[in-house]
Parts: sequence; C-alpha cells; structure tokens
Amino acid sequence: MDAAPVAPSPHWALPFAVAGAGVEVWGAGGVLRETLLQRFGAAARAPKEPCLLIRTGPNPAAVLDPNPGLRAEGPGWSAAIDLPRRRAIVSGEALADGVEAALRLAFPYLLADGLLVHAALLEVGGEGVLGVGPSGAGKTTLARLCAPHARGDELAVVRHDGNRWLAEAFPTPGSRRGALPLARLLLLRHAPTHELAPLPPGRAAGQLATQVHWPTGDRAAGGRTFATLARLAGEVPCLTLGFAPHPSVWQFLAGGDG
Amino acid sequence: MTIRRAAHTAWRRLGEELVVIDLDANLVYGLDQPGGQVWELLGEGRGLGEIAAAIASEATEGEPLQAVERFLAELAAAGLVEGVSEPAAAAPPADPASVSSPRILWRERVQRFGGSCGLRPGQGTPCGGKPLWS
Repeated sequence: MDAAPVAPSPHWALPFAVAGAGVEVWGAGGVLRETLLQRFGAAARAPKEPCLLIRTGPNPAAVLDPNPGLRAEGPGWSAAIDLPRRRAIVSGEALADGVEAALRLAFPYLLADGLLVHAALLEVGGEGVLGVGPSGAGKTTLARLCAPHARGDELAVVRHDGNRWLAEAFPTPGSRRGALPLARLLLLRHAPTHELAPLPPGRAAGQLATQVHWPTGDRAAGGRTFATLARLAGEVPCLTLGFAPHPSVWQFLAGGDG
Repeated sequence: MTIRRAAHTAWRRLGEELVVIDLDANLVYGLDQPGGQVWELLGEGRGLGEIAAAIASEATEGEPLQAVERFLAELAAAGLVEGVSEPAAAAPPADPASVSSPRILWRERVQRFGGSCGLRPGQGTPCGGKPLWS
C-alpha cells in the first residue's frame, strides 16, 4: 500500500553563504524564497555552520523582543538581531530588503577577519581590484565603464583566508558572486584625466576606515575590525585613482598604463 | 603620575606612520614618525623626561621635552592618553612649521553605515522608521 502523499510544507529553510560566512533564512511562501534566491542565488549552498540564522515573518510583534541586541527599521521591514546567539528576526512586507539589511548590519560584528567595504569590485586579469569611496566618488561610474569586468558597484567583503586576501561582491541586486584574490585597493575620485598615485599604508588605513562598515559600540569587535583593516592596508597596495568618465579607464587599469 | 594610553584605543605601525583608533569616539588618527615613537614608549612605562630623551635625536627642533609635552597635551585633548598633568595639558599646540616634532598628521571619523541610529549591542533602539542605508 502506497504511503499517503505529504503536502509540501509552506515553511522552508534557505541556506547560503556570503564571503565564506554561512547564513540561513527561515521563511514561508514561495515569493520570498524566489526573491532571496534571485538576490543571493549564486551562493545558495548549505553552510557548514551558519554564522547567522534569520527568521522572517509578517508579524511586527515578533520583533518586540525585550533584549534584541541590535534593532533597526527601514521602509517595509523591521529587524532585531541577537548577536551573541547569532539569531535575527525580520518582519514586515519587504522581507527580502529586511534580510539584506540585517546581513549588512550584523556582518561587521560577525566577520572575525573580514571587512564590509563601500567599494566597486572589478576583475582585472583574474584578480580583484576594489574601487573604494563614498557615494559620489565614482563606484557606480567605474563599474558601468568597466561593465563586463565588474562584480559589484556598491559593497564588497574583504577577508583573509589564511594565505591571501580575497574580495567578493556583497549580494546586492545586480552583483556577481565569487571571490577573487585581491590585488589592489583604489581610493576613487573624479579627475579630468586618469591618474594613479601610491598611498602610504598609514594614510590608506585612515581613508579605508571611513569606508568600512564599522561595528560601533562594541570595543572587541571594533578592535578586530581595526586589526584587519591595518593588516589589509599594510599588505595590499593602495593607490588613489583619479579617473575621467570615459571607457578608456578600463584600458588604463588593465592595460598596464597604471 | 604615569602617562598611559587610554584603554579604548588600539594601534598599529604602518610604514612611517602609526595609526591609532579611539574605539569609543570612532576616530582614527595618524601619528608621524616621532609621534609614533612617543606612543610606543608610552607602553613601556617611561616618564616624560625619559620619553623626551629617547626621541631627542629625532625631534631636534626646539626642546624635546617641550615638544613631547605639546604632543601629549594634544593626545590628552583627543582623549587618547590619560595621566597627563595640567601644565602639559595646557601646552600650546605644535608649531605647524616644525616638521620634526611629534604630531598628529591626520584624523578620520569612522562611518556608521550600518548603525546610524545609535545602535548598541544589548541596548538597541528603534530607528523611528528612518532608512538605515541608501
């Protein structure tokens, strides 16, 4: 006698990895799952040990935890993150945005040896080049001018895997996944012509610090982030890149002119 | 009174500069070579005179003791060191024309991209519906 068919559960657990860090999202409903798969899809694989478990739901009361650790709200979502237990609750209508926001918020505290940096990531000769800078510095422009070679134009995760520095685009819409060995850090600025200038490591650390998502309010985590930042600035060449908004910037970067 | 680095600081030497972070104020400082040397000597429990003597060959412009006092006053005003006496704390800032006195070269503020609502572990507060990031 055949077993009775089991109705598919509306609940699911979606595991994926962001820059080597395991994340698992719990939720219900196919729309959210598909949205998350589209956003984080290329990295969808089971993490060995999730560094963050995110539970999603429509009920705002779910975030009224008396001891939430970090709490945040955005358009259509609320999030509460318990850092010691590495759990998060995201509620609201814009759950996919809330999940991404929770990741951005929690990552600086959870990455033991990594940094979340405001940067465009380019692949140049099989290596990663980060164009670092605040809004308006040219990240999106640089990524657009080098579109076939751009992995992302907003955020990147930089980490050391024990042997080398790696850079990977944070999973925002439109970013392409996969880690690249990090070859250079470029502090971006607009200029009439393309020009590269070396930056001393101390000054590089200072400028990079302003573009890193910092775990403020937590001395221990801040100290780890600073140690990683200083090591990065000391080990990876850092330069300033002034560039004009012209496609020739790709040749300038890739062709040895720089 | 022993002059010491504040507990809420961390630092690394990077090339010619020494980079210090104030983990409470979220500020990062770059110290020049003599300034970095003073900072390193602070961790060895030396007094002001010993520190001045140690950097005398480096900071040759003016009196080394005054140069170190000025620098420590600058660090104290920034909250990076503790135990600086009042006279030292009241010392005038270094002469900008002087190129070899210990000094703070630059200061940058760490941005709180992900937590612009004053979020603290264990003390979280809602952000009033404001978007956290654009």
